[in-house]
Amino acid sequence: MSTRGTRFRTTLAALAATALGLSLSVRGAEDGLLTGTIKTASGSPIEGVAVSAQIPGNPITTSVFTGADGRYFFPAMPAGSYTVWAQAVGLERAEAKTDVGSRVSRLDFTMKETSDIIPQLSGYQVMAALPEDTVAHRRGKVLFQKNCTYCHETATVLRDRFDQPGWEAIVLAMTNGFSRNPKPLTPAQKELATYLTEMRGPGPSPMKPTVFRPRGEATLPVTYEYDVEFDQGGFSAHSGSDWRFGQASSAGGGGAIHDTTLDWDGNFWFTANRASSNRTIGRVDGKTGKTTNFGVPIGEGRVAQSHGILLGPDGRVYFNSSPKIAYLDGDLGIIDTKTQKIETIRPPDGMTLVSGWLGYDAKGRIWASSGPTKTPGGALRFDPKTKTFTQFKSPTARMTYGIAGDADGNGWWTGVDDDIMVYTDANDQVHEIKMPPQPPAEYVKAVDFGEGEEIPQPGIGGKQSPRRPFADLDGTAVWVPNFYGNTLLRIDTKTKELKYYPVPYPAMNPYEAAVDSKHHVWVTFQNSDEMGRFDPQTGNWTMYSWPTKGMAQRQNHMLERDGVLQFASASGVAHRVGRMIIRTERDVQALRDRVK
Amino acid sequence: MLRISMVLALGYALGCMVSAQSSSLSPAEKTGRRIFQTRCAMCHVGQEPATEMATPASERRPATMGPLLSKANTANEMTLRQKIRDGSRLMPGYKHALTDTQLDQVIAFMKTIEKPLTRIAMARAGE
Repeated sequence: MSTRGTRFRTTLAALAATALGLSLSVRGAEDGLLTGTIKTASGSPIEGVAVSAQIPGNPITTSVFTGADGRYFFPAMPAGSYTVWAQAVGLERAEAKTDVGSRVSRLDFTMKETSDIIPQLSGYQVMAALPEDTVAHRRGKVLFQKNCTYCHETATVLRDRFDQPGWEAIVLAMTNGFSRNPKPLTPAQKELATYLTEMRGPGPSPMKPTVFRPRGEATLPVTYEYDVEFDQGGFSAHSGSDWRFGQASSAGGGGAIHDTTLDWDGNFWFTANRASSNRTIGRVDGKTGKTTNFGVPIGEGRVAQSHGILLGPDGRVYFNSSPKIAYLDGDLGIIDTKTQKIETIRPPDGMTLVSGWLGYDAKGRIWASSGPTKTPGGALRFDPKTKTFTQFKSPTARMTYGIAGDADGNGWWTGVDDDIMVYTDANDQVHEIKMPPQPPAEYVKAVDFGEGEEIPQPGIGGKQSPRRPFADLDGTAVWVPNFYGNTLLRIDTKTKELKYYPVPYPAMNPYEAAVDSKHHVWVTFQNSDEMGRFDPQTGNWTMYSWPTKGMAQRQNHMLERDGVLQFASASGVAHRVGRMIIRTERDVQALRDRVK
Repeated sequence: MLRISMVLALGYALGCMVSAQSSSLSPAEKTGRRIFQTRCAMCHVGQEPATEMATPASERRPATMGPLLSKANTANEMTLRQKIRDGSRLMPGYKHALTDTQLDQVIAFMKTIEKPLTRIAMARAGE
């Protein structure tokens, strides 16, 4: 969780309007517009093509999508010589160079179809292509989902084809921690390798991939993505921006980013969840892309780690600062984004410490997960005015995960291992709601597994695994994304009524919610490069794409102000932070008018 | 109880840690670097301790399963090419995953690595 969907009203409306709106308008004489049309070889316009532009060597990549007429419209961009590339599922990448300056630059592309689209797909889209027609296929799919896709985006695993010995070597490495002296494969592991060989091996595959591209409203956003410098210098050699190479990878580079938030000047603040000598959190300048490290020393040349981060109602950035495990037993860190000075505040003796998930309530108080992981956990509430903590203990729920504050000032947190939602009332009493189980993934049938045969990972039998909730601060709903259950749970804060909504596809692994002023629910998915907007009134989902392969987005930081809705996200694998601005039809029409 | 610690920014860049300088690489070598990053680095470049569960005392591992690679490993190119294609009990063979051209690009990149690679990174973004 960490950062919260944020609708700042009176208090923050007074802050100077800065980075939010400027990307939607022409900023000055030094900026220019870039537009063009993308068609097939036969001349048909293509909708939903991601068009990206970057000045070589500059860490900022700007991307837009083509509309139904095949046209794309970048917002005003700084003048310079850009590399521009176009990518879409089912099509070969196209690339060109162009100068952007005072005139309107036009760049058209013709794109050809490609055959193997699996490496271009997002995680759940690959899962959707795996057949469910036989017992062997359903067993294999479940073994694959439960063993591989809780850590890896599916598309990463199935990017390449390998023969049976190759898949066995991979399963051997993964199940033995990359040991050079691994234990032999178990029958289930062997079955998994055989299944993977059938799906992505030398022979014909029964997979039936579908072309997914953004359509309609989902083509409106503009994204700004920033390659983040490693704490020891340098950038990832593959950030996922070039789809020919598949999902992102920062292996061997030493990078670690967990969550990010934007401040009101348009700069990113992100957490570093790995031991480091210089980075507890980092800052990425929204204008230049420059990365700056900030460390909380813990002795012996080391600095604390961090996990959750959010922009508080007071405009300061809050995070956990943990000396040992990135998400456990730390202090509350606060950074003034103007002076860039950090203070860390430790809960008093006798209280449990700050864990790695943060939220805030409508009264401006910060909520933090807290407590042990194997026995009932709890939460802390921090009052920024008095700098005091209040501790809450969960009656039974272990391992507090995501946490949120609601419109009445109450806290809501998840017992991730026990499918329990914990909440406080007006008298600061703590209560629990046991989440009812749901039917397992629809492709699993009772006959698929023998009696006593266990699937080696959880997520079957209706377990939900609630992750990072969000409370509508202008309503009575708490929304809970459920990672294993692939559901979105609505809890009414007044009546405690529960209602599950399925996510649009199986195996998306929903993670964190945010709610906008229209009460739409925005959900991130770990097994995806997309973010979903759910309309509770219609039950419809709209999927918005990041143009990076390997986003595996968990946290969800929403900012809404002056009618502009935007989201910030971090990807540890891609070693990127980015923001997606949800443009309106009117925004894009204004650009159409300008380039006429 | 409040414990306040003021911390100064530690912003700096350690260019010397970057193992593969971007500017001197040919287009084929840069492509090879991306392939190396996505197919080879997880086992043949030093790794940081695993995220989240690692403690400050966790040390950087020099490598995972395979040896750290450099241009020395390309001395017998035919043997290297065969190893990448066929793999071994602990390494998947890439003959169904990489084309001959891509193999050439990976090997071209490996020839630019002077010393066994403990860290892979680009000096500049977007190259």
